[in-house]
Amino acid sequence: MLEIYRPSFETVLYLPLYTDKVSAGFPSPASDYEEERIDLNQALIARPSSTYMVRAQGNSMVGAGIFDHDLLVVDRSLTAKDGSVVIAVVHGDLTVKRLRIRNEVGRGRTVVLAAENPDYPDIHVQSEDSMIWGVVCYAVRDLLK
Amino acid sequence: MIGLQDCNNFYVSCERVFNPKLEGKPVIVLSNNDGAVVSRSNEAKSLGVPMGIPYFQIKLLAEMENIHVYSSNYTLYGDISGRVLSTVKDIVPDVEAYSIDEQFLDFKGMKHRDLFQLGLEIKNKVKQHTGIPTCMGIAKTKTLAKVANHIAKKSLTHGGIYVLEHKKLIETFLSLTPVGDLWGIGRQYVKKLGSFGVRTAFDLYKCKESFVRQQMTVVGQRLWHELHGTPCLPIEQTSKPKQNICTSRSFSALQTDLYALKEAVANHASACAEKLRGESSVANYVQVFINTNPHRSEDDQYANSHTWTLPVASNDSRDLVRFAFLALQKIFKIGYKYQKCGVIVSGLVPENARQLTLFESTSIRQEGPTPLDRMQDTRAMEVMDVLNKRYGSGVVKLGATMSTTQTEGWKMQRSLLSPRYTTKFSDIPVARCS
Repeated sequence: MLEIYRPSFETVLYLPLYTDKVSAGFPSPASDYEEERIDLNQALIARPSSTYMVRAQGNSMVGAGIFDHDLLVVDRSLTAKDGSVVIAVVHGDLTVKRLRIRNEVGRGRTVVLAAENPDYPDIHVQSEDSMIWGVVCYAVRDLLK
Repeated sequence: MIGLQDCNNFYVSCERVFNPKLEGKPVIVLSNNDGAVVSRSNEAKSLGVPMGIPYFQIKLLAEMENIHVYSSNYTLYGDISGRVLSTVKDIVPDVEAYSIDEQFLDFKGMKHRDLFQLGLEIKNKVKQHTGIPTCMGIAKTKTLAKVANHIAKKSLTHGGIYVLEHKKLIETFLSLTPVGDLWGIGRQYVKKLGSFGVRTAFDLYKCKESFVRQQMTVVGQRLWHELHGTPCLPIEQTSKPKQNICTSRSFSALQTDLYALKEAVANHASACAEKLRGESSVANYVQVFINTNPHRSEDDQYANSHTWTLPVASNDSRDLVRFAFLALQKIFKIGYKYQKCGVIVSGLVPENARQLTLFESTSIRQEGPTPLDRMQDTRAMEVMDVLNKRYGSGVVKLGATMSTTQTEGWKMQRSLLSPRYTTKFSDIPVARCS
């Protein structure tokens, strides 16, 4: 099922074009039912002070629904858990991976930065501390291109 | 109790957030025009790069030691600074943004908290949310918090948080602090106090209050009370309304030509106008200043300024540019090598409180529409601001501010500028999926 919303970009766009329009005649019966418009900033960015936009580059995360050139909404305030899609720092580069934390009998705790594409290898790391840059909340894709 | 939080090597830390490769490497950030070193990573400090040194003096060292060098990216630093501030405010609501990388926190009403633990919580949260490392000094007054901050920064054993509360410890640390390192003590006072044998902060602390009042006026008296733990400098949460706005810049190459100066002045004046419109105020006075390079003893020296009173207070770029030109023409002299020019607008009042004149000045009439005509004509500036906001700064600008080939040289040199990671869509960081 599709829910259709009327989008609003009021937080960035001001159009003064209609300011002089005077409505004549009977007032609209819909005016009593007006609500706030949908604001993508509000919907996608819970904490503006810790949210950053990051561009994805490459195909290792297509299994997670992240494609080349997608725009990622990344919140640094969230704590990465097992299963989180994260931005991690690997050899000084920002990388998108799925965080896998396992407690295995005999092997102790293992931390893996997993790719979501069989063509790409997983990365085994010692600890997730200091290498998680942020948690990816949303992926935005341009479907017109 | 009051906390002073300080972002460690702030500009360098901002660069590192988006370029983690710089972690553990020597990094420096240069001032406007890539002139002097204004921020250094610890690695750069330990290579002996001093604060404030002109870049050309250490350029060879930077190349030999693979120091990463950046131009100041104030757009990025300003954005990150705002993020740090709002992260702190989530935990402690009463915060004064003292500078781009320092905040005073008011801990009153947090008496039930262990302030060291609270400081640590703030530090960890700021690091996680923004990526910026900080340290914090906590004490009874702003002046003592500044001393405590210095300890927090240098100490390797306190995790970047230092609570300075114990009287004997305060006295010990004050005796280790040169009086000139205290907040608000300038070189003149260091000299003066030295002649009385007052060399450390503890020496000043031990002085009689009446002596301090006599020698250093009420300002010194306040400082003396602050050292003894009585707060005299309140936390100022709301920034005071600006008295004036200044836009100025050194030329990257010395300028001799009136046209180059006119272009720079036009740019500075319209930058002032844009800032005025941004805060809905108007200016009554426009001042232009120009000067040669005082460090070049081989050159003839000249410096001058001129102030115009606007007939009607304005924030219209066209007015400010026009009057700035008139001021420039008054002071420009041919034959000098100009190093710097700037525009200062002052006499600021809220836009809706501006006074209209009964009579318009006729002397300026023939040169174009008067500011009064302009008052009915604010649309142009509105549209210009909207377009620049939507499509990027400088998309629409006045003809007078445009470069011609002969005038390129006035522009700021920022050849080592990093991307505007957080404020420009085309500059956002890339994460590899490969």
